[in-house]
Amino acid sequence: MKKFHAKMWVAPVAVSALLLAGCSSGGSGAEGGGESTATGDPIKVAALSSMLYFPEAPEAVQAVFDEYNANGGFNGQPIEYQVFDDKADPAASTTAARDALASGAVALVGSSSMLDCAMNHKTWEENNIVSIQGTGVDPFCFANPNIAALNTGPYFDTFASLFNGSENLGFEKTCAFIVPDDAAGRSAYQQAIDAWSAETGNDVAMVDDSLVRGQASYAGNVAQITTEKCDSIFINEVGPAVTGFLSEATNQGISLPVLALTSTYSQEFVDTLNYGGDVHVPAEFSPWSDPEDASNDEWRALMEANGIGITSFAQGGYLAAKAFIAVLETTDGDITRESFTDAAKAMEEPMDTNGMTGTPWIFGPGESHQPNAAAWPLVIKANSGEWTSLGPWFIGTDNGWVNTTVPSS
Amino acid sequence: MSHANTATRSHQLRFGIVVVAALAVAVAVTFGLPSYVVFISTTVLVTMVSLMGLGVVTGSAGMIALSQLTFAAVGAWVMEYLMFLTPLGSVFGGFSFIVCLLLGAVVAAVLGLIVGLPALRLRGVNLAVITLGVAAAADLTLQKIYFPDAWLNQRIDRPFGMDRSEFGDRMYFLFTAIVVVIIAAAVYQVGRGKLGGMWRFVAFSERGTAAAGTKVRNAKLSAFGVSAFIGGLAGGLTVGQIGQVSYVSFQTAASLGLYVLCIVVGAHFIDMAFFGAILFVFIPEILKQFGIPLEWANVVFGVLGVQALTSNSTLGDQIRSGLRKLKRHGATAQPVSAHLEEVDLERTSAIFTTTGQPLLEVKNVTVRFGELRALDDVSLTVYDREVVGLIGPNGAGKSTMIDTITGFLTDYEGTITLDGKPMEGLAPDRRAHEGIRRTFQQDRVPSSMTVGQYMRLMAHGKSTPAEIDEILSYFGCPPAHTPLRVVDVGSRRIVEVAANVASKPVVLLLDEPAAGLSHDEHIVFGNQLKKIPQKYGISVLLIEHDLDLVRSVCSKLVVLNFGGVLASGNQAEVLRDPEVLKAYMGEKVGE
Amino acid sequence: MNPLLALSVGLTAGGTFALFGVLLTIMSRLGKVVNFSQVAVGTFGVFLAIRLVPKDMQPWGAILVGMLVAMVLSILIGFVIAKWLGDAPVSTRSAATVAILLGLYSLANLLFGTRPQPVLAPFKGPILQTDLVNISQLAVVTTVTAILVAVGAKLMLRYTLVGTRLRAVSDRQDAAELMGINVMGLQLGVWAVTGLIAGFGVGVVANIQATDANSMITILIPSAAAALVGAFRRLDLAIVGGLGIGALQGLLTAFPSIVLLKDWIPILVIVVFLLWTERKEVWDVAR
Repeated sequence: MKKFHAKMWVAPVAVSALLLAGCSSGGSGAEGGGESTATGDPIKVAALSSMLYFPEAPEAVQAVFDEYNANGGFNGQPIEYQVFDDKADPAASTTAARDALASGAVALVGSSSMLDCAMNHKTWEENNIVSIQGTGVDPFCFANPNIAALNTGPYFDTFASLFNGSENLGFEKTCAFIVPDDAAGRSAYQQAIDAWSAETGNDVAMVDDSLVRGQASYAGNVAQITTEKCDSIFINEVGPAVTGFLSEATNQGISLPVLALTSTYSQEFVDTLNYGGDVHVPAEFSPWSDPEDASNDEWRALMEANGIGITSFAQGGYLAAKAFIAVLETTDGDITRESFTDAAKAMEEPMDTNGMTGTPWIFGPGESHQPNAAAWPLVIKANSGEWTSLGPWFIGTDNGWVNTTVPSS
Repeated sequence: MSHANTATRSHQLRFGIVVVAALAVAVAVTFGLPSYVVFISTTVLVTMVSLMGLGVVTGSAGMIALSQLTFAAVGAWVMEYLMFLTPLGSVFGGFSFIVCLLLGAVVAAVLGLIVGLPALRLRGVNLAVITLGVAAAADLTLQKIYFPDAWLNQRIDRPFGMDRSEFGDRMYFLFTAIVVVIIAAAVYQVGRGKLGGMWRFVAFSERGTAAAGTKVRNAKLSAFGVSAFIGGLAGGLTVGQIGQVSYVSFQTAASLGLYVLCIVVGAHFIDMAFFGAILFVFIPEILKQFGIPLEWANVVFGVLGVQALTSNSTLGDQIRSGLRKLKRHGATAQPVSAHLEEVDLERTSAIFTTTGQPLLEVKNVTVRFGELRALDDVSLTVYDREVVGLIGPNGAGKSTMIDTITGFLTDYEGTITLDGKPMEGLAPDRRAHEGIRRTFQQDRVPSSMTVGQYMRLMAHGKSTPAEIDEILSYFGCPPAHTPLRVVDVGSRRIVEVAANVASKPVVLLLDEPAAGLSHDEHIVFGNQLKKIPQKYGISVLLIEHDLDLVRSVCSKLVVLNFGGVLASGNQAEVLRDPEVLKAYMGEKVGE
Repeated sequence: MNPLLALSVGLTAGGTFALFGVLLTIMSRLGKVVNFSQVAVGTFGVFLAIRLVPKDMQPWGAILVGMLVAMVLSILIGFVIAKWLGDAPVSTRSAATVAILLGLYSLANLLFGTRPQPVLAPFKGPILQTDLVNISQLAVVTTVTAILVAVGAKLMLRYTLVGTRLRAVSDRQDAAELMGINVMGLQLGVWAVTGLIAGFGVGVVANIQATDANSMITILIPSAAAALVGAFRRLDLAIVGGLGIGALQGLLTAFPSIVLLKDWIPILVIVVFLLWTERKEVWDVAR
């Protein structure tokens, strides 16, 4: 048997590959790119991110901070941003949290992870640090005194979507498909459905919560739609998974109207959609696909200048960075973890989001935060191949929205 | 003999020193290093446990297992369930953690046995497919049913009242270190003992294992069960460290990564399991410093895995052989020939004759492969205390005969009886137990253990250590503490004979045992063989090509040709038979 | 839910399992390896292709490019295995493909992210839709492809010179080498063709699932179960097995109370067929 005597050169090749990868990937934001005219003591800020799942949010935060630093920073102090990958893994998330704290961060800005709120909310409380989420997913992001998100979150999104369906579109028998992620998530989705039911008197015809992430075949799930004779479909998955689901639906001859969540709001979703019915989505920020809507111009320019994908995750990251700066500017004295946290919780003036959100964004005191509780209705009309902006802002608190709660631990 | 005892004692002393040193290092780390390092060091230790478990089944027993983290998940799940939802979680106070940890591991072991049972008679690849499938299915199920900590939004209590503060983390590291040292010590001792020997034997040769009286299935199942048990322990330790886990903590891809890492480092060596765990945890940490995404570590492990397979050696093998080269400059054990002077070179001692009781009776055995008759109505009898020779040209059916007698060929007509008891329907390991033992033409002596360990394994407790030493010195074999890897092939064949003698069989079938010996060694061996019946009370059926050896050793001969018996009877008469000569020489003699 | 309807919608997945089951069987017989990376090369190829091919040339442009990339990857893997593991036993060669699966899986996550991938659909809609039965175009396409590949392989092996040489190589590699047969070339040819078809297989079904790198494993397992139905030797049984597993999984969705069992169907099939085919203990030479 020929022996592979490559032991000698495998190691150097592997190391070189790693180093090349490091150079090309541009790092994880360990150092800020671009020139900085700010030269004072850096203000350290961190984030936890499931980086391979939500890359745009931390990239958007970095872009905002680079621009801010280039314009002098905070009284000459640049903001130094470091992102810690938690790989959507509980163990890695706990480690990343310790990493972030050890790095001397005064706050967490733009975190975008499937589970970092659930894993680390106690750690944040114990260390008197706040997290301004760019993309909050698990229910603890919306039920904790130290965490406030820029996005609406999937539970409010669900509420808004169902409300739109029953009150504006007249759906009466909706088949709901949910990927719950965990028990707390399942409970939070149920709370959103219950809040909508209480306010409108409607209910879903059925709930299928057996979906899993990365599901190989939706055939069985979709088949229930015909059996239950629903008139509409609700699904809470991310874009490409919804594409898969609806494609299967097409294969089974279904073209009912669909209620989806803002995580589908991307160009690639509409490009790959293989479906003959309308898809209704309540966007959590003002619609970037509407050329008439000027509220997104600054954001879009910054994203394009930095080559960041145009998605609502990028909008969330952008606004999270802006929110950090807004609170920074109300902070008294030296910028430390304690002073920033105090300033965040004492916040009274809402941040100007330039119309990108429907409700004013404020951290403030309180046992839980749902600062973004508004949605902008959009639709992909059947076979139109494009997003159509409908508006106007749907304000949750005017329509019976109840903040998410989590089981007490 | 005292040499062996001293060697054992110094081994145990070294073992004790290592244990104490490890504990000392653990204490130093607990109090001396920054808390972040202590935290990830706990992860290193837990990974080491997973790797040790994998090492048992892949490195020791030679199987491909792709579900190690599934066992961890089961252990974690059961442990959480017990601690949250049953009285076991509090009834033992600070010890409840340990009790539930162990019970979780037991359930994991049961799952391992269930999963292993259908696959273990078969090729290693089938086990790979099954374990991968189990891992993927468990992934999906865990995604749907969640872990008990998610149902209740609680974290389990750490043992002995440790909390989750920084100090608590340090104490938990120390606790984990002590647990891991215990597990490592247990794995090490088991590995050096009979069970470990069985595992290494079955990885090396399944036939050899069965012929030695061990059911291959039991050897593999025990390896798999033990590895699942250890995997379950790792899962429980993870829950104690992190507090909340999900299916992501135990994903299929991570099981794949662990398997590949295991074959790269050679995790059946305990120190390499530790090294592998360090690689697994610290390479991503280093990547983090360079801002490189952590998944690149897996890509590198994949490449290293292919490289390890193509070079057919693990990192552990390479390090150990490198160290050996440094230490002993290639010293090998003295071959059998070195003991020539000590043994009687007498060529003319008489061949012992039988007491007349038939022990092995082969009656009208026919073996067909399609139209071809490999054995055609063959009958032979080996009487008590006889040495019978089975000779014939190549392809005559001699090996087929041995395979049939020992049970490796089950499709035959006719009967085989041992001491009056019919052998039909008995598997090879059962026939070995009944008293039929054999040696093999190809080298089936595993080089991964010592002579003594191999002897004890083969003897199945039938010989005392003193008897084993006596048999070794009778055959001029290297002493018991000699590692088999330094014994040359020819000598290993003699060790195999000695080991089978030590099992005190009724009949011993020797398949060309003298191949690889020099002429003088042949003579010595012949004398030793001759005396086996009277010395040990064992009858011998000897397959040999060397007619000199046959003539000097065997009282009776059976000649096979084209599957049939050409001649049989007294040795001298058979060898004068013209038909026999024609079969061997290809011409009629004395026409 | 109507069980027959539930069963028929499962045929879409079943056709995919049948196709990959056929590929795995071919690799086992001719390549002497259980190719754990069989789906991975196709998945990687498609993921890369959707980034290289402009949107207006998708889906078929992406599928073709994906097939080519998968073929190249497959040839590379085949080269490593043929050159350095040529004499190694089946389990070692298969272990090498496990390591390669790990590498491709992680590389895909790194290069393309862990979110599901946006792939356009080449085949849309049902081919037969009634109240009782619903069969998609995709089910027909994948099943027909599986049948064509199986028939083509059989015909080629039996009636062509290349096929005879391939059989010689897989039976007695050393003898074939001595006879002057281009062993490496033939083996690489097998790897290339299976890689090409794997790219096609993933490309046509990617749109109907949440396709991320995990599909390298989630499609592989039931396909391996299908191949096991044919004992890794018979192509016709692999097709039947694949369709059967898909149908069985579909059927189970009509009984929501045992939805967890659905995920374990491939394993149960594997176990049952292993117990059946190996019920008599056989001591082949390798042991």
